[in-house]
Amino acid sequence: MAHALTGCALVAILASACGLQTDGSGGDGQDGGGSPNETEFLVHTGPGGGSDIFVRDVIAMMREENIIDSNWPVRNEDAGEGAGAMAYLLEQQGSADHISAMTTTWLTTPLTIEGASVTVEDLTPVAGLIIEPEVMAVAPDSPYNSLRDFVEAAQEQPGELVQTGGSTTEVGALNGAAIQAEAGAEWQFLSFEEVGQRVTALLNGDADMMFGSAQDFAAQVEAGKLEIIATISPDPSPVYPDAPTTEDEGFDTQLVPQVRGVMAPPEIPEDALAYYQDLFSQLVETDSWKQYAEKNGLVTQLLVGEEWESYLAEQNQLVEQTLESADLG
Amino acid sequence: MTETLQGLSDGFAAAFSATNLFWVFFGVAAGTIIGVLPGLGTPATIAILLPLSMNLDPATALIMMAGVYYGSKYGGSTTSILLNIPGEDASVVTALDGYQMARQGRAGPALGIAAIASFIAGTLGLIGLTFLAPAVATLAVAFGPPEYTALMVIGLGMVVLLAGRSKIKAIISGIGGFLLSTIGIDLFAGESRFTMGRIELANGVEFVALCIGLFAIGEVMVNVEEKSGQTFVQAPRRLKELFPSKQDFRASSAAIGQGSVVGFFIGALPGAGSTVASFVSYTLAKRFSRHPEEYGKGAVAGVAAPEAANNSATAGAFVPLLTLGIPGSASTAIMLGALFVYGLQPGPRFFTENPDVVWPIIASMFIGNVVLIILNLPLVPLFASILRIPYHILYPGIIVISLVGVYSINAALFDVWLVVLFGLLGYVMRKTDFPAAPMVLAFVLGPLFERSLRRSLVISQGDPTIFFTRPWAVTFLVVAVLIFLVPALLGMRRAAKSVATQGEPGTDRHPELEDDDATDSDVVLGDKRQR
Repeated sequence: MAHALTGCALVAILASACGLQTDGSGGDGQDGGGSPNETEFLVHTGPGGGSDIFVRDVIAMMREENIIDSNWPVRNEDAGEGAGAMAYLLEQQGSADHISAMTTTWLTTPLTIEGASVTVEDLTPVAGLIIEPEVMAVAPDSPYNSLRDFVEAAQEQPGELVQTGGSTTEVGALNGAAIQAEAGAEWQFLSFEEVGQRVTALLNGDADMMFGSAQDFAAQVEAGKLEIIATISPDPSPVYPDAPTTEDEGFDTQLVPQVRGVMAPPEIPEDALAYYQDLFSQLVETDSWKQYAEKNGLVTQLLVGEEWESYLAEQNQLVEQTLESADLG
Repeated sequence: MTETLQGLSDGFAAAFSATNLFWVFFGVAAGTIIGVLPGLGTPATIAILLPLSMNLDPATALIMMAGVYYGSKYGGSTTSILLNIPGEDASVVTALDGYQMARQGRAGPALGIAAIASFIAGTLGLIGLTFLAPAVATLAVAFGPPEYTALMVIGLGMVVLLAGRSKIKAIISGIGGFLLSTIGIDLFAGESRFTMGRIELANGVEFVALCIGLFAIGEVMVNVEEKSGQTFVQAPRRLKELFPSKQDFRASSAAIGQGSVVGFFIGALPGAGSTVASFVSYTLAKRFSRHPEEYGKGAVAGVAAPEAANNSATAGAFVPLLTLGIPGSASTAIMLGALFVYGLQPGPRFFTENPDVVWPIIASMFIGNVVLIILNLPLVPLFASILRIPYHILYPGIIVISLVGVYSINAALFDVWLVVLFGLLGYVMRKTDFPAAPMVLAFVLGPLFERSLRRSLVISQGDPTIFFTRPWAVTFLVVAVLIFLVPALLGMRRAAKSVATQGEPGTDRHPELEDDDATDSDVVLGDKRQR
């Protein structure tokens, strides 16, 4: 009897987990014909992380727009800032059923994390979806009205001003290091795990500025609690076209953009690769995507095939250089 | 004010629609189940439900997801109390006294008080969310690294409070937990610490693996050895024993009130959350109790305080999400992601621009709390009767549930080995009288303390006076001194006095606990009195 109880409990766990996972998919099979059977979408963050939410939103939009006919399960391989996910993807060599979201973290991790041996060059690039320059945000009452203002202040009082962001190897930190190197300025970097904590530090004055994606600041900018004063790129930000670029401000260091794309295992079957490339090409044309991108300040830039591969190689080199010059590699 | 009441009543009108009632019920029921089961966490469950929610209205979807979120806090206490397996991060502290109550045959009252504390605190937290959200949001934003550091000083000071017979052993255990928490990638330098090049350790040691190993597995091993042939927990026999008594209510009312307030405010801070809230609330309850010696040995207030705090914290967590668009936890981050798909952007103007979304969510949480108490109280006798299972079936069951639960978090066999390792550690610690609770506490709060401290010093360029120039930081440090140093000094005087007059017990309700007052000084003895 008691045995049965424990057994029941376990069956209930599994049943509820499976039940929840397949809810809504209804088990309507794929159309076969060489395309993948059961796609698993991998992300390198835990549930609730940036990539996790992005991927779950992408799947929801693809369902909504009838691009796919079942809800792909999401797999969180969150060990080591992408290292775990990249290793997992490598293990799926030749599989048609696994793809993964990637960000610029996938370029920095193999260079900075101990034990991270897989690089993007070991994997198959599927498509680039979002490539956007970072923007610089300050509080509205900040004494700095431009990047130049801030850098000059930092030159005058070395090591006193504070930039906030994530880990010291994330894109914002790399760009900050690159600008410090060019200008011979020096400021502090304040690390927080969550974007919310970084924004809070800007709001309460613990930090003086932050480099981030437009999405990080969208809600606060709309409410007038933060201001965007620069685009951290030689090219203007499509979301804030009026924010002066680094070129406008007289800097010519090469800077790293925020990238979101999709990767697949090595030696993925060609028709599966084509299938996924087609899905994502369709996605970015839909109204759901366009509305989502606009609301969140995302800059759609679709790159597939060769284009995406050579772009990644280029970025990889840039990240490596920046890490070296900032002495973080 | 009238606007708020108007919003709330419109919200109730919407929340009482048949669809919304169904989904609030679905959400809290699902939350209770995943809370009861160790492993599959709240954020993971909400994430899995995201596709389902896309077929619903934004308000309805959020009603369902929020239900899972606060429902899981109700369920989390169940296995903590019955089996010493924390079902959820925020229920670890509940195990300290809850499990001891179960061992004394008081599983029913423990489960009952947990449910009632959850209900009262959840509701009070919602009242806070309804009327104080903008003010509390301002406070939460003002809370920077120096304030966190000072708050963590209070939290870590609790290591001493969790001591059993020996304060030194508690401190050693706490230091061990702190050291374990340093494993993983250091956010500030981007470098790996003590990972031995293993990617599995890059994110640090899995918290649930540590807790389940130390508590559940260690407990089973000790019991198998010491009491083979009997059940180690007394099953309640009479119906009267199944529900909390009047005396239990009286003993826990202050803890519930305190837990509600503390939980709400800590829950509203981005980056802190319900686990920290439960620890802090337990500390305060023990410190201000007239019978602190009963804590850790089955004090009913020791169950009420953390359970109140972790439920009130969920209401608090909605403050920064709804008023600022800043999620304070993984679960609220997923809810924010869901709102994005609907084209909604929570932020400082969310309340005024989308009242039709915000108010039904808040109103539904009031309803959900009522559903939860109705759902949970009748389950108390059922759950309590699990303890009637003979030990030779229950033990293997506990081990299987523990291992499956841990495996399910990251689908990593590595974590299962960690549980085994920590199980052995738990066993050795039990045999040598090292308390496990300080280790777990320091493991949770240690990284918050370390990071806040380092952040504070980045902001001040290495100047430690930052902790004495910010009003809230000073306030917390003063509170820490009042809580820990002053009573310790007074305690020393009292101990000296009682040694002089030898024995004049206060009450004799728990005669077996009486000799605990003298424990401060008998570090050397470290005896086996209790067994």
